[in-house]
Amino acid sequence: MTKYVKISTISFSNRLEYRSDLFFSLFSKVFPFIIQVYMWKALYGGSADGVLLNYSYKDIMLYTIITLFVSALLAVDVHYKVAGEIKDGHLSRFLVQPLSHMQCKASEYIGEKAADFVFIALIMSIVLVALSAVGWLKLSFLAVLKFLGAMAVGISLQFLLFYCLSAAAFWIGECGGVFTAIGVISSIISGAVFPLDVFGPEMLIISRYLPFYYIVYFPSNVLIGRVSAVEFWQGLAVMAVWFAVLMASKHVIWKNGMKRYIAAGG
Amino acid sequence: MNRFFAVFRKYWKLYGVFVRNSIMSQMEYRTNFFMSALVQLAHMLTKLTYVLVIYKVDQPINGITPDEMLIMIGTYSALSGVFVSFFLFNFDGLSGQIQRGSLDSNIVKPVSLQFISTLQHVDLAFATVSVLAGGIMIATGWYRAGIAVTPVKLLGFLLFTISGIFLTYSIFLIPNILCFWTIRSRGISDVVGKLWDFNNMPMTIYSGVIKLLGTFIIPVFLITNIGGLFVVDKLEPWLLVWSLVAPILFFALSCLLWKQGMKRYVSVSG
Repeated sequence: MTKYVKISTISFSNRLEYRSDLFFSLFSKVFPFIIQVYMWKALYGGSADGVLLNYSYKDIMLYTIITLFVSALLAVDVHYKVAGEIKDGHLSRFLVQPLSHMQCKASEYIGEKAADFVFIALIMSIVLVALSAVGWLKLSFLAVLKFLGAMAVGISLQFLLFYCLSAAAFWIGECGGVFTAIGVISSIISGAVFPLDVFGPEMLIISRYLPFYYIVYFPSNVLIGRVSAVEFWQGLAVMAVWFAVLMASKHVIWKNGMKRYIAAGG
Repeated sequence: MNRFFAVFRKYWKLYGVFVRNSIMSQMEYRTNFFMSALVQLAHMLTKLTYVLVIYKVDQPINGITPDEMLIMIGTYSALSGVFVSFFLFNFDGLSGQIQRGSLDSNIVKPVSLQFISTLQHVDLAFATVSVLAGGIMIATGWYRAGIAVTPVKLLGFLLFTISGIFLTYSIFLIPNILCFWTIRSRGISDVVGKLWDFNNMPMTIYSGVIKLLGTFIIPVFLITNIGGLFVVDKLEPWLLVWSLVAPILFFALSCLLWKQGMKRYVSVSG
């Protein structure tokens, strides 16, 4: 356990060292945010009753602001790193070291996310307090606690999903294109671009059965207060099921992938 | 005038060679071609989500109907791939060429150094997908908006779109030319690159500083909106004039900066 804590600590320090990366990753999300702000402002400007797609202007802006932070916290690049290790043969060192590859990557991820959290939580707290002060958001200790819980499981699901995906490198040499494509699609169906219900009730029903729903849309709505107590616990239960499914899938995929590993260049 | 056409023909022919060479090299690695097409297809999906929301709301924004907006979003979608296919890879590689001093091999060639260094590589996968998808969007919007297909409208749309591509080259090259001074200009290029995404929605939705910035300072709005605004008869005369002047002005600026930058070029390891 100590060795994984040490990996997390190193990863945390490294991330703090390269703060500009985090700044640019946050900054790159600001532009789509500005586009959406203008788009919604223009659309609501022509609305007679101030309600579009079952959202008031305040609600849609609240969702857009909160998902900006949530998706910044969820940024993941483990699949690119692992695929590089598989391709270049660097995975070999994990085979001889007394380390679990997944736990090692998870520890690195936790360390990086902890560093991101320090910055994002600081900015997010200021924004949330401001939103609460103008009456847009009803903040309570319980809502924040539930949000943090949902986020913690959401971040774990995100890691597991992309860790499973990274095994594609055992079969495909250059999988950067596949990763980018899946990353873009994942951001749409997780609700990072628009709330899922604006695409219609069918989309919402289907997405409830997918893990992506629980990564951005669910935690964001928990904080906004659009998720009842029953729905929250139901959501957590589905997340737990997905966690178990992904862990089992990871085991099968990696077991089969390792049979194809040739340690080229290692 | 004859000399101008002769030079134009020479460079046009040379560009044809660049395109042919790029296609030949891509066909050796066909998987990469399909991967690039897949990435572009995924990005098109994001653009389509904006279209979907606009149609779901189904109301005009500042006098532009959803069908008319589809023409502009379609143009943006088509040109996104054109930008990546013809310019982005060359521009991204420029900083590395300057760092490594590998511009040397191009300096000795009897053609414009700026031309050869900024247009040599082409990856048609991105443009193929985006022009196809964007073209369908433009045609659908045009048809649904009930706009008559006349030679004037068609030619006008093509002229403004080509002028937009010309402007794209200059606007996005300028931040990369700064590498001659800073060696690394990744940050500035990234920020300017992000401004491109503002065309995800028609320029008519923007106001204030963003509109001013996108129309005059870094005129990304002129790239994908003017053709559409012309087709829907909502192009103001001053904007028409500016959209034709800006590409020339920014091209001249890029050439001027390139010349100044070359004076600082050091053949580090060449």
